[in-house]
Amino acid sequence: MLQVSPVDIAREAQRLQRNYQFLSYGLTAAWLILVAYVLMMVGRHRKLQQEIASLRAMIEDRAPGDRSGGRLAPSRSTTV
Amino acid sequence: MRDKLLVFLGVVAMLLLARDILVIAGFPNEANQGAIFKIIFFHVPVAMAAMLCAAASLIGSVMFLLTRNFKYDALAVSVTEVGLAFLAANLVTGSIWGRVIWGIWWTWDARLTSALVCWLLYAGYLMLRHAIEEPTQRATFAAVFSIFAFIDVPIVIFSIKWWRTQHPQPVFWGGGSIPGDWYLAALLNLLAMVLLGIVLTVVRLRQEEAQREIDSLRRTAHAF
Repeated sequence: MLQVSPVDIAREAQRLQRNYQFLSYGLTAAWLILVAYVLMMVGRHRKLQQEIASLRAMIEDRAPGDRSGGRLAPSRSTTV
Repeated sequence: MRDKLLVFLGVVAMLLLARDILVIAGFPNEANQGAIFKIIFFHVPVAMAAMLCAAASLIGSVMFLLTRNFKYDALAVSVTEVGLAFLAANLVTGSIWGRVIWGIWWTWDARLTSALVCWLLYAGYLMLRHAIEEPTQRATFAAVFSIFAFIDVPIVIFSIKWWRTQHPQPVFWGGGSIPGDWYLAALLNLLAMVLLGIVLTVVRLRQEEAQREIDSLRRTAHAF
């Protein structure tokens, strides 16, 4: 007849606890990577917008007679 | 309209992921591995999403070389970056699973090594782009590099078939047996990852457009 000792029960409970602990580490790490990437994208977007604004301001300063104010249509051309 | 669709897709992806976490938490623990087995519901979909990103990057790179249209180059870089984030999540979750089941964080087995090499290759692709200033040269070199990097993708996928690896054989879509509702949860997670990947790629594509606008404005500024 199989008998389960209190030590076995405690060991099994410990193993389960460790399993859940590492599962939570795994999910947290994966989510953190994705969130960090999204935050990096937001930061880059902000930087790009600031750079566009400063370049436009610079062009407007340099060409005050230009009615378009140096503004360019958003570049969607296929050649650079 | 495009913005609304993008937000909608992002919200759907997040809701699906949140729902799946609740559903997966309700599943019983796997008999041999216990609760840590549930990491597979995240580990496998991010891997598949990463491989889809690599395939999209290959298509973008080939199309750029054929047409010299910079929108394909923008697609390739955007999708590569998103895929790299997915692959990083895959490597980290796999390593944490290995620590519990194998007792080690890492082993140099064929699947793990080829996946790490894949990550390093695509990281190298992004670094190469930073190193070249001239846009046409940058896009051409990057496209060629991306095509070569893709050679590693089938090696990652089939390594567990070709060699005896410590990494388990596929549970989903392999010879493994798994309950139907577990399949469904994994499929829905894959769908959520793909939707998230699409949203992130479109956002990244817009940043590439903004970068091209900056290049154009710089040329105008230099012309004065």
